[in-house]
Amino acid sequence: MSSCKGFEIVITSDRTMMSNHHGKEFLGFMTTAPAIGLPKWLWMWIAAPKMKVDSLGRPVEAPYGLRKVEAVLQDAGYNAAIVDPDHIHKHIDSMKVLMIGHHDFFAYGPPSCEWWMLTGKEPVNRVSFREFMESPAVREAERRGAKIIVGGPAAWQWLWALEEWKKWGVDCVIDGEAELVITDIVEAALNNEPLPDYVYVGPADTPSVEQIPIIKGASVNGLVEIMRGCPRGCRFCSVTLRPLRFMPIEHIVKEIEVNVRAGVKNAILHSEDVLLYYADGVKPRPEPVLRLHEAVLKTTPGSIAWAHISLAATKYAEEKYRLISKLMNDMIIPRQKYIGVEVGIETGSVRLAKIIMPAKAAPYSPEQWPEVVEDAFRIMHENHIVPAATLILGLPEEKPEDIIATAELLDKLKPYRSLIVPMFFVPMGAFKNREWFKTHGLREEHVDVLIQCLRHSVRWAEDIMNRFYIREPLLLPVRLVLKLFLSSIRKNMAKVKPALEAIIANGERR
Amino acid sequence: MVKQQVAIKTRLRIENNSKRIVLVICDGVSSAETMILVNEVTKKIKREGKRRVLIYVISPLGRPKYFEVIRRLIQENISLSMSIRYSGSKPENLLELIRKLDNPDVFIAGLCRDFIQALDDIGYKNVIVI
Repeated sequence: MSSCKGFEIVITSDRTMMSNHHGKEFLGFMTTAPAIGLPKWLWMWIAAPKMKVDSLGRPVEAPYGLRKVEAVLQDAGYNAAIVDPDHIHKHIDSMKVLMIGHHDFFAYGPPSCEWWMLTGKEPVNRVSFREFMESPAVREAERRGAKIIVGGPAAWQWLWALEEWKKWGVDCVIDGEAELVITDIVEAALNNEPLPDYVYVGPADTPSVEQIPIIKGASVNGLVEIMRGCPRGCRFCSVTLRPLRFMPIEHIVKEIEVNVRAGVKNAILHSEDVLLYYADGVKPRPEPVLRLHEAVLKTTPGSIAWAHISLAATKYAEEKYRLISKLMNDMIIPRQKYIGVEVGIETGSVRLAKIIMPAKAAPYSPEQWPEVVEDAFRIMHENHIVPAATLILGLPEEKPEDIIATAELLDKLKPYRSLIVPMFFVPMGAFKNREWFKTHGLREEHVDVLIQCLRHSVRWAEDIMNRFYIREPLLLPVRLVLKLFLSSIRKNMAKVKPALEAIIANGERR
Repeated sequence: MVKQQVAIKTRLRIENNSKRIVLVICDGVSSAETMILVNEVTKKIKREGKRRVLIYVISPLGRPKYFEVIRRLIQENISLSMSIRYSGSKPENLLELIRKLDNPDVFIAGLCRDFIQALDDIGYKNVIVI
């Protein structure tokens, strides 16, 4: 590796992505909002502090997707590495390809676009990405002829950012799983051959498990993938378009070992539904899930978290096998006080659930969806699982009675410790050809749901912080600022409803 | 500065064994015409049972502005691998492309009189004008 001469292929992202968020993944969500009630620098310091780097500017931790691209290219023998955005100037003389990945380049994804619509202010992830692309180092790289290749889960956003595409000289956009397509695109770029403008990776070019490499450097907060794809087929979701694959335990353990060697002591198991690891369709099987946790806990010196679980699998796993209690009481609680996870409620309406996510409640019927949600929340509350739940407002085919059904379900969820984040519909997955939800579609029923979610989340966020979250002495300043922030939201809660109603009134005037 | 690209030979896996089509996109394509274009292209690709499509775009709109017209095509697609290459802005570029490709299907959308004339002049028949 000719590291002393710099890297030919530099893989990077902007600061909102290249951060470990103080080791608290959930703080990363603050990058999807504008700086509210705090100066931008303080907001960024809480949400996306700078990463430790080596002398070449390589970060200790980096986004998992970028780590996969790095591994593919290094395995193929290229002089490629992930470099922190503040350090890419160190490679300006050697750089021939600049690869940039992101979850939300332009804040068009959920929930960024929602905060943007409601506040009228650009979220910090968008601002940070723009500042990065317009930074002297990126401009100089482009001026010197480096090919700029962008990709990641938000690749589709470039189709709506054509001015930036042109202004910043992007050469190629890659949309989809890149493992099998990236090396020959990079080879073409290095040989100065013309690149396609846009590549969409369909099922014919998605990698099998054997073709997915093990990461070479640590991932942000120890995230490791245990599955790709999801069998539920919800129409608003892009993950469901991918074939379902399970990573073998040895593969997962090897990646955790990479993280631990780099000093990352915790692990986040990434999957659309951790409980469906080697499941029988949508029915969890205890044996593989327990074996996975046994291996993960043995390898991980710190705590673990789950990226996502589904509410239906939670209910089924507990009621049929008492799997949740076993996992929590026998394996996880002895080493940590709680586990955090994201879950999807999306709607409380049976009618809408049948249309947009007919298999979300499976193996239960869609008619049971509200009951599934409530039961799963109770099970999680009793077992020290703290969910950050999402709702989607403005779904295609949504009627006022659907929003009322969601509000009724939220009432039933009041006693359960959780954060509930409402998101406006963004066209993705099988719905990617549908219309965006915009503020002129905002109704009074939406406002009621938004207020319910805010009250619920502020109440439980204070409880979560008091009991579990950010207890480390070193993070005391972060904790204090967040507590002040929560108390300021609580004080200003009465002003939120009139502000949202004003948005509706403005929309009606238009 | 965004560079114009004309590429026929490919080393890219995602372009191997793909259905190759040429889109000529000019100004003045309505959203209804965009949908017709999407339907026609999709029908043609499905008929051949390929899992990959390589789309060459000729457009006076320039790169990447032509995506205003064809992004719907990307949005509507789920099952195919797709590679989209900009191949120039002039009728000469279209004629050069047709010479190099083997009788490709050509779709024309918008106010493209010069391009239609150029194809008429050489008697090219494999064209759908939207």
